[in-house]
Amino acid sequence: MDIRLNEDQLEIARQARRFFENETPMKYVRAMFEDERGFTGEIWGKMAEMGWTAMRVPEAYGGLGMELIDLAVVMEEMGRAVVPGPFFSSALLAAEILMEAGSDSQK
Amino acid sequence: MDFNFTPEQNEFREIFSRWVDKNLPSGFDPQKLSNFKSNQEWAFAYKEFQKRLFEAGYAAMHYPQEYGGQGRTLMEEVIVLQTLAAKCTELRTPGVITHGMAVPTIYVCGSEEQKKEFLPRIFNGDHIWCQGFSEPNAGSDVANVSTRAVLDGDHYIVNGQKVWTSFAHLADYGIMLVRTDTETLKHRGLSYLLMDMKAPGVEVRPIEQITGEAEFNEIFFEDVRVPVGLRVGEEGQGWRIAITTLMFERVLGDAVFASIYERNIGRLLNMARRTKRSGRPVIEDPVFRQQLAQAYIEVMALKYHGLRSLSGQIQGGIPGPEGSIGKLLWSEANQRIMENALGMQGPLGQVWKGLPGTGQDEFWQFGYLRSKGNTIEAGSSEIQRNIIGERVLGLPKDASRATTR
Repeated sequence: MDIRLNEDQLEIARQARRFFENETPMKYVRAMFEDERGFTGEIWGKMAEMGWTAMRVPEAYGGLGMELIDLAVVMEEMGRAVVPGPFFSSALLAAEILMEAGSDSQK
Repeated sequence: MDFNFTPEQNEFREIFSRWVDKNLPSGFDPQKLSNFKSNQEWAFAYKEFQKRLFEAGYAAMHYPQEYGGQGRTLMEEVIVLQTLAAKCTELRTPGVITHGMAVPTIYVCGSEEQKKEFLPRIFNGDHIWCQGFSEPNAGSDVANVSTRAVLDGDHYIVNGQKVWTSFAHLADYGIMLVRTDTETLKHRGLSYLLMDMKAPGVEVRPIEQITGEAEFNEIFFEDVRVPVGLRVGEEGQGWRIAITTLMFERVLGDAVFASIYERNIGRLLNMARRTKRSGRPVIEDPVFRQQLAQAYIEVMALKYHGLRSLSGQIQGGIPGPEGSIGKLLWSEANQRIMENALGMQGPLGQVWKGLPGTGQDEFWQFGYLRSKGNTIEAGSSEIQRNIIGERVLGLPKDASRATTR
């Protein structure tokens, strides 16, 4: 019984924190507040490069097949940096719903 | 995040639970508020049961065998303590300071001689211990301790007074924080002594509480002689030793409290099902349901905080100031739960000792009154918030508590 985060998860958190500090500082967040879309394609692309959008997609569908807690750790850092964008609806909700209830062609 | 106990741990819990059911003293009723007619009877029952635990191999699970322990894991210790807390709290209460404070102090900071002399007699039920910190002029500001210990050859001569000392009236020995140096900074002049409570010059006077009980005492020391060999650590280390042992104590304390509160929640829900207000059970009332849910949430928060601290300690970490979170949680949550419970009982909630035939459970009356002390004892809520703020969050120090002479 050990309910603490393990070293891998702590490392994911550290990486995420550094990323948001560098890529989405408060200046970006405030600018996005006025923006029509609320996030930039550039930042979204960088987050995809970090693998975060693929975390909850199984390897069979081209994803990383990681645990919910791994994604949670990234999202905690996103919350800390108040990063706007459709991450929650895409990387978490859509991915989980498709895997839970989607047909093969939908997946 | 692994929440699971191993199959061996679960089996151990089963076996020990059955052992407890079979070995409780005859006539002991865990549902009763008080099973004993006098303090002497209570202390005797604690010692007898501790002796039974010891003989059956369940005492001091994770302490080394050379000191009378079982040399098993911390997790098994926790399982034992949690099971006992849930099944027979009253039987264990006289030993709360003994196991919670005296044992960590002696085990972590005592000399080999002190460990071999005192730990076995705690584990086998021979001794009950008390702890003397607070004084009339030293409460939250523990460093203000002025009970004086003056070196005279191979003894200290102790004069002074302690207050709010739990179980001093039942104790064989006490760990006492005393001042050995009046010239240096306040918190650097303190030392720890292991004191024989039956020594000449030690006078214990019980303090009666609002509940009618007398758990706490004043102790007066008049020229009490304590051998130098019974000082724990070096002179001037008293403060550091106190802080260290408080942190070790918190981890096991949180695990045990969580058990007690989980059991209390069960009891609260039963009361809410049985008690009717305006013609329907309390458990159907929307306002009371909110309170019940809130109580449950807080107890679960305490439980997982405890498990997190425990996880850290089992992996070999040293407990730190985050233990203050647990103390804050259980004390304040308990007060809310007790107050809400009285509210649920309605007008009958104001009747002390219960009216026959009403089915009213006086557990909540006693609990409500006793809970008032929770946010003061064992480090007040204000102190806990200071610790969390300064030492966990790294906020600036409280200006009024700068070290002074």
